[in-house]
Order: sequence, then C-alpha cells, then structure tokens
Amino acid sequence: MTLNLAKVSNVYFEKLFAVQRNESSTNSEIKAKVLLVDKFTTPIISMCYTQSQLLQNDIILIELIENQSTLNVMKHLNCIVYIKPTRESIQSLIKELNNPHFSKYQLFLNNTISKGELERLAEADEFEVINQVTEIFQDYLILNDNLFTINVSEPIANAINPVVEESNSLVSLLLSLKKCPIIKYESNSLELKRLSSEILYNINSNSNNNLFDDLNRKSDRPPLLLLLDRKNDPITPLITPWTYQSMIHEFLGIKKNIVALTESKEQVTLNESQDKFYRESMYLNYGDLTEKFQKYVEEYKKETKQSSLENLKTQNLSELKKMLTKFPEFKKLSNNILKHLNLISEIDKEISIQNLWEIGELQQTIICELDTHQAIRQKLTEILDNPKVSTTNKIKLVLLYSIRFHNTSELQNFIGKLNNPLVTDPLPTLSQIALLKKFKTLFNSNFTTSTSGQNNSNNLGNIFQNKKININSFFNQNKSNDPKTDNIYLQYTPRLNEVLNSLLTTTQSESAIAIKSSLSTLIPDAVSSQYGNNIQNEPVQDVIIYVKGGVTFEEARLVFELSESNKKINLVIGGDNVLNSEMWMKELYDRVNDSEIPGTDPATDRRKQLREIL
Amino acid sequence: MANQHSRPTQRRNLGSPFKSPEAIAKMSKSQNSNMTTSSTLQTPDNVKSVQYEASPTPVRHTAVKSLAPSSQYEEVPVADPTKQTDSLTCPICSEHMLTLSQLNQHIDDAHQEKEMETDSSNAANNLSNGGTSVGRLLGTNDVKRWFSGKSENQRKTPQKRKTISLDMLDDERGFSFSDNGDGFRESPVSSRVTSPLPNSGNSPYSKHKRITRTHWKHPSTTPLCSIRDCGKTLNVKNGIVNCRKCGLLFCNEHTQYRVKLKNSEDVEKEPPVYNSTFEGTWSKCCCDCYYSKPDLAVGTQVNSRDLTSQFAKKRQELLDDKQLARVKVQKRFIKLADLLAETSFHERNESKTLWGAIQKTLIDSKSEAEKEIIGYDNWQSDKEATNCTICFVRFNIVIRRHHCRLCGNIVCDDPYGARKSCSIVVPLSKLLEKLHNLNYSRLVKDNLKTLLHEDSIKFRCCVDCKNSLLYDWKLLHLRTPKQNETEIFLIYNAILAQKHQISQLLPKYAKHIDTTSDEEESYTNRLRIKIMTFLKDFENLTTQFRGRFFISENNKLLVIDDFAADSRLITNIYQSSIMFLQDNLIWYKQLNDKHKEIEQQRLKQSLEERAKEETPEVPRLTKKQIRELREQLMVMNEQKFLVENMIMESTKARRFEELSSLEQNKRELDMTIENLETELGEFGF
Repeated sequence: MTLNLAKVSNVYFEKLFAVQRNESSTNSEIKAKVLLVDKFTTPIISMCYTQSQLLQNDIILIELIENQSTLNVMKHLNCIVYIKPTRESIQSLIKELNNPHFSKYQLFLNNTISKGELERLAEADEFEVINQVTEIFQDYLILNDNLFTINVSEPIANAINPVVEESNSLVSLLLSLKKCPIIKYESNSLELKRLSSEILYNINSNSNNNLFDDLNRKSDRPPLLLLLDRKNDPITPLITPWTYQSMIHEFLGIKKNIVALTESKEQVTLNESQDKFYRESMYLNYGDLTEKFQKYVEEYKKETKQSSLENLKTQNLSELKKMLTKFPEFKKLSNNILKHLNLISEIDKEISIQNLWEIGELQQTIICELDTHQAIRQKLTEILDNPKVSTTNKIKLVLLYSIRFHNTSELQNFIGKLNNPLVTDPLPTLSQIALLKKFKTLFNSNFTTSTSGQNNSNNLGNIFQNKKININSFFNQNKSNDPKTDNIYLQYTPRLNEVLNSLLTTTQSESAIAIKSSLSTLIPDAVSSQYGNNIQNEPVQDVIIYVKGGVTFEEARLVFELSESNKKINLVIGGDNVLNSEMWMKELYDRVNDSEIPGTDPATDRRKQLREIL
Repeated sequence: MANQHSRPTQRRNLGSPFKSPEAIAKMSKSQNSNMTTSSTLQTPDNVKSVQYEASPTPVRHTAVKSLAPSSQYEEVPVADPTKQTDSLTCPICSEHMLTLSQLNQHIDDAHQEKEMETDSSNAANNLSNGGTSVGRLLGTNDVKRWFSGKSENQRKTPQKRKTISLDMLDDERGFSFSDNGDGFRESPVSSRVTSPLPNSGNSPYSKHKRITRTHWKHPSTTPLCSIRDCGKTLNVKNGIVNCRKCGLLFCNEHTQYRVKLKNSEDVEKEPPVYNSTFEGTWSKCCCDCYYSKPDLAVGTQVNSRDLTSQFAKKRQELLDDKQLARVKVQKRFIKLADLLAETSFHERNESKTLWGAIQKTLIDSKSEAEKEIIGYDNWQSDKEATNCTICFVRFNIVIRRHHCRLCGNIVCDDPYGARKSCSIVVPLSKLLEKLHNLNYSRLVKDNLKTLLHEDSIKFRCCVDCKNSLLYDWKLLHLRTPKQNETEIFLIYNAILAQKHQISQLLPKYAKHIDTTSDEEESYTNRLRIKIMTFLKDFENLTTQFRGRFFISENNKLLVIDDFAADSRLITNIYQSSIMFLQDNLIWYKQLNDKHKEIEQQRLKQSLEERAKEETPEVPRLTKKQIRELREQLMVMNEQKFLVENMIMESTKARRFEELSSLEQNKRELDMTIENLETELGEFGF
C-alpha cells in the first residue's frame, strides 16, 4: 500500500504533537502546549484527531490564530502553530510574534510557503520564539483511508482564483504522498484543462525548489493523477446507493464525517480508524449490513451476560475486579452499538418511506437495461402513477430513462404525468421540468463514450456483459465468492470502473481505447527525465483520482474494492465535494438555469472565449 | 566438441552450442516460434540480439550470418517430424522432455549461462589474437550489418505475430515458457537511447543490457516453489520459473510480478539490482522480490520539509541588523537624554532673567545639538520628504512633517493612531523609568530622581525607534506571568513531571516482564514499586489540583470563581490528567497480573523440576552412602549459595579486591559439587 491517507494523518500527527522525548531533556523542559490554528486547518485537525487524542499529548488549549489579540499571556505554555500559509493567517501570526503570548513556538504549515513570506516571518520573530518551522502537506481533508476532499469551503469559492487554490491543494496531496505523477484529464472539460495545466506548472516550477525531484525514484511505474469531470458521469450520483456509508450520506448527510441525527438531535462522528464496526461495515450492502449488525449486537450481549452484575454474585472477587476494569470498554461498545442502531434505523425508515426497494430496483433495471424496453416503460409508468412516490424520486427515474432511451414523445408523456396533481405531490418546479427536458442535451456531448453503443439497445447489454466479464477475468481471485453480481440493487457500476480498467490493464477492447483517447496527458519534466518519454500508454499502479464537481461514496467503495482485489494497484480517490443525489440534483437545477441564460449575455460569452484562449 | 559433431542435425534443432551458442539459443527460440506460432513470439529485438551476440566472434560470424535465416525457414521442417515422434532428451544433461518448446526452455534456462561464458571467453581470445585494430574495424562493420540486418528482419517478421505476443505479455499472467518475455518489455526508449552509440554492439554492452543469469538456481536441485507456504512441486503444469532478481525457482502463480532490474556492478557475482529509471529492464520476479522493492516495502511515504535552518539563518541575519540598529538608537537616546536634561536645567536656572533672548538661541542650539546626535547626514531634509517613511502617507497641510529625534527620519504625526501611529511625543521620564540602568551621563545619573518626576521634558520619536529602544525592557517584561497562572502551572508542571516519568517507565516494565530472568527479577520488582509510587503521586497531585480549582456542586465539578477566566484551561488539564491516570492504571494493573502469572508459572516449573528429580530411586549405592553424600552436597550447595551472595554484594558495593578470592572459593565449591553429583548420579536431587 503506497497510497494510504490514514497513514499520512498518523505520521503528521506524530510530527505535530508528539513530544520529542530525548533522554537528555530534563523534566523542566516538558511543557504543556497550546495549539493555534486558522480557519483552514481547524477542519483538518478536527476530522483527523479527537479531542482526547490531543489531550493525551498535553495539548490543553486550542485557539484560533485570528483571535490572538484576545489571548492571555501564558509563558508556561509552548505553542504549536498549524496554519495554511495564506496572507491573513501569516499576518495574524506576525502580530502574534510581535507580541508573543507563549514561551516557544513550533510552526507548521500545511502547504508550501513562499520564500518572501518566510522572510517576513523571520523578520517578525524578533524575540526568537520560533524554534521549528516545518512544512507538512495536508491541504485537504481525509474522509476515509482512500477518500479525500479538497477543502472547498466558502473562502476558496470566493477566492480570486479558485483554480490556483484547487491546484495548490492537489499539489499538497501529491507532496504528502511523495508522488510526482503523470497527469491525465478528460479533454472535453475546460475546467480540468485549466486545473491540469496549473498543476503541471506547479510541479515543474516547484522542481526548481527540488520539491518534486526524485519523489518516485524507487517506483518502477510513474504514478498517475487522473482528473475526471462529474459532467461525464451524471448518472452515478443520481442512483440510490445501497451500501452503508453511501446510504448514510444519501439519507442523513455526512458533513466532515459528522452526521446530525434529526430525531435524537445528536451529532454522531464516523471515523474509520476509531470505529471498528464502521470500518468493517462501511462498504457492505444493506442486507449484509443488517446481518453484520445483528451479529455485533449478539456478540455484545454474550459478553455482557458473561460478566453482568447479576452473574457476578456467584463468582469470586477477582472476577469482579476483572470485570470492573473492563467496564469502560463495555460502555464504549454499547455507545457504539447505539450509534449504529440509530443510523441504521434512520436509514430503514427512509427506505420504507420513500418506497425505495421498488424504486431502487427500477433504477438499476433502467440503467443496466436488465429488462426489455417495453417492460421498463410499463414499470416506470406504474411508478409515476403512484401518488406515494415523491416527486424527486420520480424525476430521478425519468432522468435515468431519458438518458438510456431518448424519446421526446415519451418524455412529454412522462412530464405530463408529473404535472398531474392527482398523482404527483408536490408538483415539479419549473427548473425541474427544464432539467427533464434538457438533461439529455446537457450531458449528451459528454456522454458519447458510453452512449455510443447504448443507443442501439442491442449492443448495450453486450457492453455491460463484456464489462462484467472483464472485471471477472481481471480480478478473478476474489470474484468467485463475490455475491454482489447477484444483487439486483448493485448492478450498476460507475463509469469510473471502465476508466480505471482501461488504465490499469492493456486490454485493447474498443471501449478502453475510446476512453483512453478521451484523456489527455501531461508529463512533468521530472517524470520524463526518469522514465523516458514513452510512458503514456503503459499500465499504471498508483492512481490518484480527482473528480471535479464532486465524488460519491459509491465510487470510493469501488476504488476500495478494486484495490482490495488486486494488491498490486494502489488507488486513492477524492473530489471537491462528496455528493449525494440531493446535492447533485440541486447542482443540476443550477446548471439548467444557467444554461438558459447564455447567448444573451455577451459578457459571459467573452469570458468563455477568454477561457478558451487560456 | 568432437562428440557433438557426430550428431549434427539433432544438435542444430536443439540449439546446442556448436555455433555461437548465444545466437543458436536465440535461434532455437525463433524456430520454436515458427513451429508454435501462437505461443511464442519474435520481435526485431530478438533478431537484433542474434547479430549482437555473434559479433565479437569474427571467425564464426559469417557462419552464423548464413545460418540464421536458413535455419529459420529451411532446416526446421526437415527435422520436425522426427523430433516430434521421438522422446526428447536434453543433449547436455539428458533430461527427458515432453515437447520441443519445453526443451528449448530448459536449454535456455539451464545451459545458456555456461555457453555464454565460453562464448565470451572465446570472443576475448579472438579479439586479443586479432589485435585491436581488427576488432575496431569489425565493430564498425557490425554496426552496419546490424542496421541492414535489422531492416531485413523487420521485413521478414510477420506483423501479425507481434501483436499476439504483446497481448499475451500484457496480460501479466505467467507462462511456464516465459523466458522470451524478457526482451519485450525493454522499452523502445532504452534501445533508442543506447543503440546509436558507436561500438555499442560489443559484448560488455549486451551483457549490461541483458539481466544476468549467473545467480539462477538449477531446477533439479529444488523441486518445490520457494515461497514458504506454497508447497507446489515445480513441473510443467505449475511452471518452473526463475525469479530474475533472486534467482530462486518459483511456480507460475508466484511469479506474476514484474520489476525493473539492472545488472549490478559486478555482474558475475552479485544478483541484479532494482532500477526504476529507463535504464532498468522489465523482468519477471517472485512476489517476495516484488514486495520487498524499496518503495513497496516502505509503503506509504509521507513527506514533510523542515525549514527551520533556513528560517533561523534568515532570522539571524535580520536580527543582527536589528541589534545594530538598537545599539545605535540606544546610544543616541543616552546622548539625547543628556542634552534634554542639560537644556531643561539650563532653562530652569535662567528662565527668570534672560528669558526672551536666550530662549531663542537655546532652541536653535538645541535643534542643532539634536542634529548633531543623529549626524547631519542622517537628518532628513524637509524638501526630500514627500511621504512618511513608515506609512507612506503623503504630507500636506494637515499631515505635517516631523523629525524623529532618534533616527532623523521624517514621519507623520498620528496622535490618534488612524494610520500606524508613526510617531509620538514621548515623555523622557517614562523612558528613563523603564531604562533606568543604561550608561547615562553623569548629569542624568545624578538627577535621575528629579528627572523621573519631571513630566514636561518630552521629545518626538518614531514608532520603530521606540520599539527598538524598548526591546530589552519588553523582553524582560514578557517573561513575568500572571499570578493565577503561576499557581495553576505550579501544580500542573509537577503533574507533567510525574507523567513523564510514568510514561517512560511503564514501557520498560512491560518489556522486562516478558524477558526477565531470575537475576532481573529484583529489578523488575523495583520497577514495579517505582511506578506504583509515581502513579500514587500522580493521583495525589490530580486530587490536589481538583481540590484547589474546583468545587463540586450537585455532583458536578465547577471551576471556582477566582479562576473563572481560565476555566477552559483548568478543565482541560484536569481531563487530560484523569484520562492519563485511567489509561495507565489499567495498563499497569494488566501488567501486574501478567507479571504475577509468569512468576507463578516459574515457581511451578521449579517445583516440578524438583519433584522430578526426587522420584527415581535405584539402589546402586547403599542408602547410608546416599544420605551421607547428599548431606555433603547440601552443605556444599548452601556454601555455594552464600558465596554467590557475597560475590553479588561485593560487586554491588564495588569491593573488587574481595572478588577474586571469592571467585576462587566458588570455583572450588563448584568442583566438589560436581564430583559429588557424579558420584550420586541418578540419586541426586
């Protein structure tokens, strides 16, 4: 495993907080510490580390560096500063240095700092309080061991040049993993084109600073940074997922690994590294999940029964003692069970309210065309006539249908049904109708690779069939005991699978060639000097995937399964956001509404042209 | 050689080394590819190496040349039928083979190395005989031939075959006859980069390019796959594959891996080394070699960059400059203070008499003197300055120019701090109060008390000068913390010290429990007690902390009002100590339990041993004899024990002079004990 984000966060934690326990250091040198963070690093810290972890390492205060003027002077404390090297944060730090509140400072930066800024800091540090300056590279959030998101909170969205911010974040990811990659991006996306060239520039110019030189000296194949655009796969976020983590996100929403439960009004943290049950079950489908959970509960029951207080009366004192020492563990366990029970019951509630068993099946049937066109239309009409099904779910189905079998008259028919107040409540909004009409055209151009065969429905089944066989043969080690292919709710595999397959192997199937040709390649100087120029078409081992426009947990699961089934490959996926269907629909409405205006506004046209030139 | 000559046809087909062996080995491959078109393959690369290997042997060269094409297309069909029907045996080691391709594989794997050696030695001989000039000439000829040969062969090689071969390779599945695979993965780049070099066709080069096989293991010696848990016998079905890196033999399943390799410096003796650049050649290897590749062995590498030294260097430069400026400002301040004191006294003395006239001259002389302190050159002229030197605001009627009396720069007046409060009028007394022990002039020192209470003496200085003047005072002042915190941290630092001790000792204890032997027993026990006291102290301190800063109200702990401002700090400290205590107490107890268990086990063991020793009784010696001997032995043992204790003590007390005699004693005792024991034999304890 050469790409493991959990290890990254662990190593950085060590770097940040662990006391350098030299034998020579006397006791008086050990001091408690304050942690100063800025608004960018706060989520990074809070997602990776718990409060108790920090307390264990003698971090007794955490403050925002923006508030430095309000701090008390505490010379007994040392200070750890962990900031993103933005102008504001550096400015606050300079103020702090002019008037230091604490004894000694260790400065950590979560991305590269420019020489000028470093000089400014050196000038400001006239009391010589800083005794360590280290760049660690973590300008991104780690959600799972293989899933990251770029830190796109509002400050970045409002930034003057969001692409630069984005590329900086990605560069920090590359640096933290010590990878100097080939960049491949989907050439039909303008945004990706800009982003990739920005990254390339960053890598090449940074190599003057020796940051990117020699990073993959020991790996035989150069790593790959794969930039994808959500536009090219608008379907995946629309489809109702059936695995644990995805379902939590779909129905309850995970924000920075925190789920807010509506019913009990409490917040639940999900953390792969600290929650064993979650780690084992996050990728399980709903059926397996409930089974696993039952086992978990039974196990707990068994253990508690063994040492429950009533039973203890008969047992001797030493047993009692043993049990009491175990008591905190039991408490933790029961809390954990309660947490997952809440989550699962909420999910279950949502599924039954929304009629999702039926809808989910139809979604899979439509998108993978498991039935005849006729039968599918039949089923879809039935569901549209069902007043219990919510409007958004109906819209999702019609969208999927329209992308599979484009037929204007049928679509009109469906829209008519949707507008019927007898069966649909509430009625679809204008933008929803507009989306239904435009969806196909909006994404048609980006969808050619996969739809080319899918329009004539005969080929379609074949393509999917072929794909399955492909996967089978490629990962045949574990496929034999893999029940997922039989599960009707998990028929659909995201397009990412095809893309990755075409890159990881050299099988020359038609679709693989089509996908490969849709990707453009940029090679940094450091890579080409190491491997020569003829590396573009070799199969790859380490892939860092970035989905512009938002990644889904479903794709993270796919990536997890791929790398589980073949230990030779290492995959990490991320995006600027983690989508669920609700967020994606909202995004779609916005895009439809945007696309109605252009042409009339010359300013946007101009900007587009400029972008084109760029 | 003579023996081989007797069976020419067979030899040729089997690729035996009577011609340039390397070339024939390759040829046999190409023959093979002709016969079984789909399973093996031929690329220009392969053909090229035919020419390569042959080149250093000038005598044979023509023969090979003529042979190469003909053997491919003519000889094979003739020999084919006979060969297929006969059972195949290797002509060198006479091992039985099933198919011809298998035999080829075998010859390549098992015998090629020797042939290569003889070949190269021959080549060396030839070269030395022929003289250097001939060799060079031949070299150039070779290159030409190579080029022509290459194009020829390219024409001849059917296009179709190439694609098939590539597909199979890319599959990354193993073949039992996969030897050919080596050449294909050589990236075109490497050949392109190196081939234009003159004389590159010489044998050292080709050796450099081809991964060495000197370290390969012979199949007959190890019939099992070298992966420990695999246990497969190596045969045609499971595959017999040498890992190119370590040379051991593996089955197909464990050699589905590829790494880039390059020959080591000493090709003959050392196995190839990993090389990830374009110089490396893709080669098959076993899974062990794959996963112990440096990058995979390390796993996820995490990067960080330490800028401390860079930062510190920069800071030092800037600090030196600042220090210089501070000294300068301080000196000027001393002079200025003197001047101001002097003029003020002067003023006071003479104000009543010659007030009007002198006032004017005094002011003039004062401003002159001020200029002199700073130096006329440093005193910025009004005309030059259009903007403030600190905030760069443009001067106008409202924003006036002012000279700083300590550096001479012109700055704006900003009494309300609207800009950066560039300059202020400072009372001398305030500064003197803070900087009372500077080396002032006699006048100032004598009148320090009066000056301290004199508020009317003021001068203007810029904010930079003020800061650098007060730097030392600030540094001093910053170090004095507040009362509340001192109290909190007094206890907390004690807690931290204990914590440090515990966290250092506990792992040691854990380690000792597992490894401990009888002698270390006492040490472990001491460690245990030590930790216990530390934990007790820690607990006491924590309760003390709680008692000092918290009051309990309705079963809830609240920070007492005096420390309300620091409540967050206090609760955090308390929490962290409680957490630490809980975690470590549990751990400590677990360790203790384990320790006890081990101790008991050991006790039991020794008891059992003793019991065992006591059981057998066969009367070899009379009972009386035995009893006597035993008594003797017991006494001796006891004495030995005593002596041992004494030795221990004296070593501990470092009384080394006694040691030698004690050791002597012990040796003697040992001897007698041994004698007694042998005499007792099975009747011993």
